[in-house]
Amino acid sequence: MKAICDWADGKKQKKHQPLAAAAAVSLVHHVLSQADVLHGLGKLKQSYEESPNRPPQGTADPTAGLSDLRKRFVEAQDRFPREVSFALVMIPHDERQAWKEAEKWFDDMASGPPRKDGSRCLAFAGGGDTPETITIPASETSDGATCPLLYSLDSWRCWLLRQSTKAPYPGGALNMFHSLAGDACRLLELRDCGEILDGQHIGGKRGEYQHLL
Amino acid sequence: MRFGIPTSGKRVTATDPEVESVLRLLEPHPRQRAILKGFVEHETYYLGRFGVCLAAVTKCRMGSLDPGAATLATQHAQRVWRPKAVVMVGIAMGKNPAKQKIADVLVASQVISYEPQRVSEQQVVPRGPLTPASTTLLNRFENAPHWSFCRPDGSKCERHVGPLLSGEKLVDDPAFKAELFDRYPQAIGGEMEGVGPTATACPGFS
Repeated sequence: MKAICDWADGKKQKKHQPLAAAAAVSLVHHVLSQADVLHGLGKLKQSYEESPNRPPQGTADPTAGLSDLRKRFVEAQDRFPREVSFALVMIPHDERQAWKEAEKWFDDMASGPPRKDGSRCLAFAGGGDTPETITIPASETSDGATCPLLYSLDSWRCWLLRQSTKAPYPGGALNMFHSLAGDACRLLELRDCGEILDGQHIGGKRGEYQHLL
Repeated sequence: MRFGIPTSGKRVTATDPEVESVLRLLEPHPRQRAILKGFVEHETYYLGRFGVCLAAVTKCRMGSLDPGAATLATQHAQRVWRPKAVVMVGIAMGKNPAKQKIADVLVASQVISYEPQRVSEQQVVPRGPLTPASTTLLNRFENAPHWSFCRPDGSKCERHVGPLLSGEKLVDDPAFKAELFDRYPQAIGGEMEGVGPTATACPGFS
């Protein structure tokens, strides 16, 4: 979907590029604003999971993926010793008190002055789960209910912390942080996807309480 | 932030005006407050909702062959996002100012790769593939009678459907352009990245 911005006549200029780009995008947006517009299209065949280049993350076992992520967090920590640190916290539904403690520990660093230990939060990312997407199997409920429950699972979050306010800021740290946060999101998708046996969906085990760093 | 959900559509752009235009219409995912920007390996993606479709948007380098250009960018996006559709949106050169106007949109029914050639002393024989666009997507873009986009002077942009030339050359020579369209008279315009998505997103690619 390309819109005309010049005539390749030896007088090429960039003047019309924004207008042309906006026209092409407008048509795509118009078409993709219709419900079911992609009905009839299947998934393209080559997938991330099928790719030979996919890093080992353990699609079948979420715990293996988390172990790999933990290793990468440690490596990131080693790359920026004493300057920045990375943290990932995931809280399962039955440990809400722990989540409050974690939030208390991290959240007041976002805009306030450095803490006594000198660290302050530079960035955080989160929001992998929502109440609408989490189902607690009946076997895991404590009130004896026989039906699965939708439950509010608090978000996991990643933090990027900086301990020194004087040393030069390592620009690569923020990029690495976003990369780690993105991979954490993907792992969370794996966490509760479960499996299908004999045509029946069996809910996967959710991740345990993790303090990776 | 929900990286990894199957996206129903994906857009690839190659220049700043292109990606800026897409991002202006990209809306946050449901239940998100902002468009998400993420780094996956060597690529950068913007995730959001485009129209009614969840979309991953990426900006590739100009052309199809360079590292980071359209071919590898599309292949990477397919691995990561498993999209239902790949749409490359951007800018192109027009064929005939008498029949087309600036900002008219060219919808590629086929992408003609004009770079592969057999060059002998007597003649130059084109050997590039003519790859058809997805029948379904083409159908959707042909059936948009109510689409309207106006230029600053108030005139409406038109939509032209037909084969689109694609190659690595940034054409700005009337003689070369005439030679191209003499060789491919059915083409309605030309650009530089179309070969990438058609090569990697065509049926049967794995």
